[in-house]
Amino acid sequence: MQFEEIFGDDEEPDEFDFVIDTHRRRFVGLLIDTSRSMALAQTGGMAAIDALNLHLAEWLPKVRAEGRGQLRDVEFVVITFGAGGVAVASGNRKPSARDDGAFVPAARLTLGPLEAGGATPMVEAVDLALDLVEQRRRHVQEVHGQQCGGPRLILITDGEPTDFEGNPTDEWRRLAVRLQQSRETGRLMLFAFGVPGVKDDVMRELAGEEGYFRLQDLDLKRVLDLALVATAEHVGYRRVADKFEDGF
Amino acid sequence: MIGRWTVLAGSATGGAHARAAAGSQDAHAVRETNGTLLVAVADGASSAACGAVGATLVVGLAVQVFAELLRAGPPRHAHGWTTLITTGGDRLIRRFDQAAAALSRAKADLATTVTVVLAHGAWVAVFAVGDGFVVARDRGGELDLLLAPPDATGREPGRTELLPSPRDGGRRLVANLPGLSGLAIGTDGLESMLIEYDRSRPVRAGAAFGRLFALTGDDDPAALDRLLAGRQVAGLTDDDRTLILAVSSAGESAVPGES
Repeated sequence: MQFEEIFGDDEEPDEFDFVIDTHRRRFVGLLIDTSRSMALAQTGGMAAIDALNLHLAEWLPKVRAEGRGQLRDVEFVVITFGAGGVAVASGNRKPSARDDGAFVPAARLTLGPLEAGGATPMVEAVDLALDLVEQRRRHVQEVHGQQCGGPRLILITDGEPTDFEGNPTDEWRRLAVRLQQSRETGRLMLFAFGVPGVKDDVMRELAGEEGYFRLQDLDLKRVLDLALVATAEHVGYRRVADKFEDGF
Repeated sequence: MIGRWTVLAGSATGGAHARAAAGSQDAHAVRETNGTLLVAVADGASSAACGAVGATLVVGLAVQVFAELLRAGPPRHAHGWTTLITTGGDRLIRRFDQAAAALSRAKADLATTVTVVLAHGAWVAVFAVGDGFVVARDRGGELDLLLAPPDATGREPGRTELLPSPRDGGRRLVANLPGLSGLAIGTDGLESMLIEYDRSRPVRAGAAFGRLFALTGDDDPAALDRLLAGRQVAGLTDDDRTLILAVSSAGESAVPGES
């Protein structure tokens, strides 16, 4: 229920000096497909990669604003797979889990323009994300002594996993087992968003039925908005599914 | 001099529960009899099928259990307070267990935290299961984090001890606080914005308590509800939140900076 529904036009009390630092950290890995198909596919009269950059430019300020509120305990790592192989796009752009490395607080998340090209080394990208979030969790616990919540991975793709040369690969089957083990121990949530071109059966194996969301069109703005929902603290698969079914 | 207590209670449903069209899973109850304050606050576990029922049940039982024990009047010495809070805590756990069985529910379905505070004069006694917190204020406005949330080191966020089967049997403390002028009792939905941490260790009550206690002097009984449901708090937590502010007339007039 919204504030206005409860209290009408009554004003809430003035600003209070609340503690805004956090003793908790949560890690969110955002994995973005930047393979050649993102340059070839068209949406809204432009290449999908250009549309993605446009929507990211609108989405990032929302993330940074939330980073001063409910996402203040979230650190992002953004990994692309496609142009340039598997690349870290956030922080110092190096695959480092140390401070001032690949992880960036939500309040400071920025990204340069993404380029599309090459194959779809999705498996290597997810493996890297899993390794980095685990290394970051250990670092934050051991060095900063802070409490760490379970990590989340958000995967956005329009393709199927390939090797670095663009050849289909079965490596995703090994990854699916790794992801399933992480889910079963409650240590990881993976939200996978597929847009046209995606291989549904592979994504269902990777993300599980409840973690896979298949969009019927190349609506990248909607994907990013759903990704933001999936980043929130008290949000699980059901909540994202409700938003997805509502056409959010 | 034994003062009377002025109490302001506030609560708001967290965004996650509101979006799911579920109500708050927090519950609270407040009693004052002849200068003895009894407050019970509970936070039903979101993971439990009927956490809200468990929270409502336990605050009702807490009032029943501790009101019985206080019938002969509040203890006068530390030993009496220790006996009261120990006996009451044990009895509350037992009654909750029996009530859960009577409701034919799996006990875990009713999982909840609970924080019970008794105060009379300078004496404060606390029984707590889970991650609630209690802050005391003295006549000079100094704050004391009387019951801190458990140290978060190595603990998953949101994980805590719960009734009906707390592994630690619940935390119990008795304190004599000369100059006690106020108490704040809250659920974990507020701890991240009201308690200051050093790494994952809670160390002190945050500065906001100064103004929060001042709300008890307002004529507006909904001021705290509005604050907890308002944009500033909702921007910092998505969880259910409950806060009880109690100010003793014995110490209130001397607190600097309030009128």
